[in-house]
Amino acid sequence: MTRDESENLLSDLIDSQLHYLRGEGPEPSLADLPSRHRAEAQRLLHLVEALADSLPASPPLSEDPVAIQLGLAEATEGDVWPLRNTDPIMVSVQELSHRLGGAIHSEVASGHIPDDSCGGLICHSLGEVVFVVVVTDVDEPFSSRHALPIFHDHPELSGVAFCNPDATRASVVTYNESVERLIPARDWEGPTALVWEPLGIVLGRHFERSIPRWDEVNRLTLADSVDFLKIEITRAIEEKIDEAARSRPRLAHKRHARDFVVNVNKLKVQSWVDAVRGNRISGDQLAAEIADVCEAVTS
Amino acid sequence: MSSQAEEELDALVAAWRARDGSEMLYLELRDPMRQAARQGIRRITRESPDEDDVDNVVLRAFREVLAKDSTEVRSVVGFARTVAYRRGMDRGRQINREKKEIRDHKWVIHDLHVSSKDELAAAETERLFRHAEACMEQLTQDQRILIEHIIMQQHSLSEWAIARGTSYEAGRRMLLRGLRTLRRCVDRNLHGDEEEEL
Repeated sequence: MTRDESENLLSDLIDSQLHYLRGEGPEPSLADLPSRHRAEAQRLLHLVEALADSLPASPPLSEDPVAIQLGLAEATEGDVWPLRNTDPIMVSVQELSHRLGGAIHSEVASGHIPDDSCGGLICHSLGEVVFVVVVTDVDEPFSSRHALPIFHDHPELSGVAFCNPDATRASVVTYNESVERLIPARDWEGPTALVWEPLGIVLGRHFERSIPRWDEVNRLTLADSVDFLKIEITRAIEEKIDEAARSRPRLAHKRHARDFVVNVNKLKVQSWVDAVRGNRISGDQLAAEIADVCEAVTS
Repeated sequence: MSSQAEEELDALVAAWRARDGSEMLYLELRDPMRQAARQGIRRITRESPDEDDVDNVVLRAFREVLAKDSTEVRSVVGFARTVAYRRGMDRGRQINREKKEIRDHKWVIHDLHVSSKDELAAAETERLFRHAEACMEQLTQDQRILIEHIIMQQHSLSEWAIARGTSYEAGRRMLLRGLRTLRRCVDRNLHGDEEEEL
């Protein structure tokens, strides 16, 4: 084997090793290599493996997100550590949203963040807006009254969740739990003590109570709901006609209207109600049909 | 590893066992753990890993290191590298499931058993890296940039050649020469360590 050939073979092995480390190919084999080159090849491949993926190096400790999370460094003053898609809190919220069929949308909070917080997330559903506040130390004496300033600054919120960076300990507070309130037949009660549970559980419980159960609605059969309503509609029509019959209007045009209502065909009125409910007739069309009936009575 | 470096690491282990040396331990382990995490993620996803994912893996892995009974570990850096690599692979699997929009794409934490053999192999890799890093000054500037670009950052050699206006073959030859120079320097240092130990 010439020198060029042996060097080409070594370069091919280095290429193969890089492909292998990237998961793009099998581990290179030295079986086809002449024995006198194997030791060198083996040492070069070990060196490539030892060097692979060693850059970029870690950032300075004060900028190292992992060190900040571990409490080994403090975030730069005035700089809120932004939540990223891989943070446990974001992962927990995404899993919850997935479990609830995409009913929850989240965005990293901008604007006001409490001074002792290290980031925040706003979670929306159809009827709820919850501000997830990330706090480094949930073991500090925390009560639900700590949520009150946040509610005052953000009146659109339906809840505030305090959560540690790991998303393992969180508690959701509603406005009425953060203030002194009078419970009927009991007494005044102050802000409630916080109960810490994993974020996915407390947030899920909070959102689930207001998310429509579309799956239950879809299981309803049309016949069941229509039959129930038919009876109610008939009863309502008869009540209105009886009410009109009992009235004693003094003005002539009102007496005329009363007489029309009392004598109108109840089945005709029922059909109007069904048509409106089934979206088969517009308001203008309904008014035109009523006008036709009135003209027919007049003539 | 030189006896001085080993003494320093022994001091770290002692601090770790006393549970008051987390910062020192993290400073010593963060680079090898980041490297191992990247390798683990890349091994599964076959793509350059997002540094956010790397940070997340390192965070989880370092907590496992802190929680480990230190008397069961033969090499703290070997253990840390192995844990970070395996957790990197777990994260890589999760990323692949997310991409395929597989319904259940939670981060599955597989049971981790790190054998002494795994620890020592990883420790040897770390030792090799530290010597290689020290030997980088033996390279020409072009060789050092090439090795940093192609091997340490895993960029493409063909793209490098196009950007430099040179041929792919010329890049391969320069890479081989650089690696050989590095390896000779590393072997000298390793040989010097062995003589020191004797």
